Amino acid sequence: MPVPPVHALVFSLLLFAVGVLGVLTRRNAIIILMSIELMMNAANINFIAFGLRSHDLTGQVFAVFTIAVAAGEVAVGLAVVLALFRNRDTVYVDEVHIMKG
Amino acid sequence: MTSLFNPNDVRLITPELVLTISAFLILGLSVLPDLGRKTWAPVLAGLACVSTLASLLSFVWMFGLEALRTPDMTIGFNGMFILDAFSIFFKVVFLLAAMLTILVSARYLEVERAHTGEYYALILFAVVGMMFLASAGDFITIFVSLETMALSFYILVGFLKTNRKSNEAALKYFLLGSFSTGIFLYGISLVYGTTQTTVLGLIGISRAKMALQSPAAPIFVLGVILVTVGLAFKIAAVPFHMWAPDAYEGAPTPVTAFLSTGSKAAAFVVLARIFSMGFLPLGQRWATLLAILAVASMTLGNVAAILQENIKRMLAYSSIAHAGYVLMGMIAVGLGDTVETREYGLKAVLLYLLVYTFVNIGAFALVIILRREQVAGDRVADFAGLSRRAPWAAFAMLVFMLSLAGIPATAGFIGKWFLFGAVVKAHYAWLAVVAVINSAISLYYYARVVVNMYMKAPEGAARLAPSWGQRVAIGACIAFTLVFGLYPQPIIAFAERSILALAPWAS
Amino acid sequence: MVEYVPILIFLGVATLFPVATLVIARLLRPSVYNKTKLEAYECGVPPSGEARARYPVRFYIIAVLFVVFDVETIFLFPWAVKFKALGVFGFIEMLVFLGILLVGFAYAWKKGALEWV
Repeated sequence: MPVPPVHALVFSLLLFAVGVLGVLTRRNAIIILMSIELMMNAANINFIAFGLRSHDLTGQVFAVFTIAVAAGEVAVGLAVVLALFRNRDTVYVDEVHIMKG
Repeated sequence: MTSLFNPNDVRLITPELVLTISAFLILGLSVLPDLGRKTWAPVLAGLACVSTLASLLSFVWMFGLEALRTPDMTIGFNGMFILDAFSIFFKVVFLLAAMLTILVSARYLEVERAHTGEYYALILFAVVGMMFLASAGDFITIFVSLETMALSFYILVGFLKTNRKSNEAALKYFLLGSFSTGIFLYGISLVYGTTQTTVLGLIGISRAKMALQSPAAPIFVLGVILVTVGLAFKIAAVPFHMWAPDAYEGAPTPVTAFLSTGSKAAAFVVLARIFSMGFLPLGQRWATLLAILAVASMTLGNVAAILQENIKRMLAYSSIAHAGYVLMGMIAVGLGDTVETREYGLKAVLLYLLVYTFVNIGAFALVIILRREQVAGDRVADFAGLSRRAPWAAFAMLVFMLSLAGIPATAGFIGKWFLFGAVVKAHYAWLAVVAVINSAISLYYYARVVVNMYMKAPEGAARLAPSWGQRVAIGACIAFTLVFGLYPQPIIAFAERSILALAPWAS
Repeated sequence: MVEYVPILIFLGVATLFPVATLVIARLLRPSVYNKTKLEAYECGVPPSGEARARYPVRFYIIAVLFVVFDVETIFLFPWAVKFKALGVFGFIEMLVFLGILLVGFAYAWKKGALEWV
């Protein structure tokens, strides 16, 4: 018996909420990046669970694309943080504030 | 079973292929042994410019001038790629925006000592993303091309590696941008779960209505809301605008110009495509949602712009306000009770985005030519006395400011006229009143720049030395703004022909 | 629900086993603490420097490259599974995909991102 889609939905909603909370409350850029990954993986769980329920492969295909795109995003994100770290010596977003208004 | 691949489909993506291949070529050439940076980078800039032109011409070559005038809707790659008048209109806008951006970039990057081939390759990759976005008929293509564009922009915003402002802008834009991507993606997953398809056309035809009546309706509505929020981030509508002022201020100015026009237009393409193909049965609901966003964006954008001393920041807030104006067209699409009203709304959106591209890139081009060694040139005060130092530049800025404010005889007025008309037609006249009041407010800060240029004494006597590329770009923008401000029929007809074909059940 | 019973049993055993081992070990072993014993273990030699030392930036660049090239291979798996069904079209499509990756790889190589300096 497969896992019922409702269970998957509740799980993914929780995971998504954890991700959003992490983005909103954390100060470390790397941890914010990890929280964003949680949000995207919550969506992946939905895609696969819903696809399984309706016997549709699109969901799985979408998940594969999401994983690949997320990897690209991590690479760019790390590069951005690295450039900042070289100039400013910090990864804490609340210490980054030359521009205001 | 449908066949996996139809060789004819490749024809449809020729313009994109041209750009992709030249982007790779530029990337490859930029690591070749130095022939001296001084001679190499301008060649790559030229190559990038030529490739956008080639891509533009390949439309004509592929489909002929006649087909360009009345193109049929062609669907390729099993429904993932749609080539219709609507997508061609936006592809033309994106290519023109990219071309203008490339023209104004070279001199600026030399001053910043960041003139490398990668910059042009990234611009081209961003354009490829936008062009696929305009043609996307499926959530998978939408997501992948949106990310192609966004990832290129994250890097472009942080392109000045040793500049702290650029680093900071890139970090903020990246974190909030990918946050919005996460929200957007989760929204898509819920929509997929309730409608069991990612093809926009299929959602619209019957499944959106079905999903609304099933017990899963709240999940579907939540999905639509999350998709809206994700896109609101991309168009920088209030309250999802926090990244825009910082990203616009810190990014290299040509990138800011491209970001505020190309990327915004691209987000509106998706908005128009998703909402009028997929979610039209919910028109009433999302139109209300967009109306709130529009009022908030217009008001906050214009009021905050008054307080800015940095002109890039001021234009950022103005760009937030303009996103609010354009949303009014989409509201008419959602609320209209006749097909005619809906099409009028779409036409207004298309027209405004085309005009805004030229006007805004023109305005940023003026900020770019003020940048010299030792002078950032991005404060409003830097425009003081420009009319005496460089009368032509001052005149150009005057035209762009008036056009952004929507003064008659400029193209900006035509765009606003149609947007305001659209909401009146949709019986949302109060929104038009709000927009008119906001236009009046915006006049104040646009006029401040003009007053600085014409009424104040210049701070220094340094002459401006724009490159010929910058001259051509500014000239083209002025010509567009004035010619189509006085004689708008051609662009109105172009927008009219290009609106998305709405299905008969739209009424 | 009957299908879940083995999982439940497995879960119980999996939790009990480590807990039991830890408790029994705690009861059996002599607990004598001294300075040498509490020190961080660094392959037998006396530890030097701080544990939170900074890594050279090189590691991050290699990590970034690894993430990209490692995860992009995800597209190869579905293709490998359906290799016969996808036929020549799938093969060419994959060649194009790998070609694009190769351009990126060549770029990184030329830029010196793979060199350890």
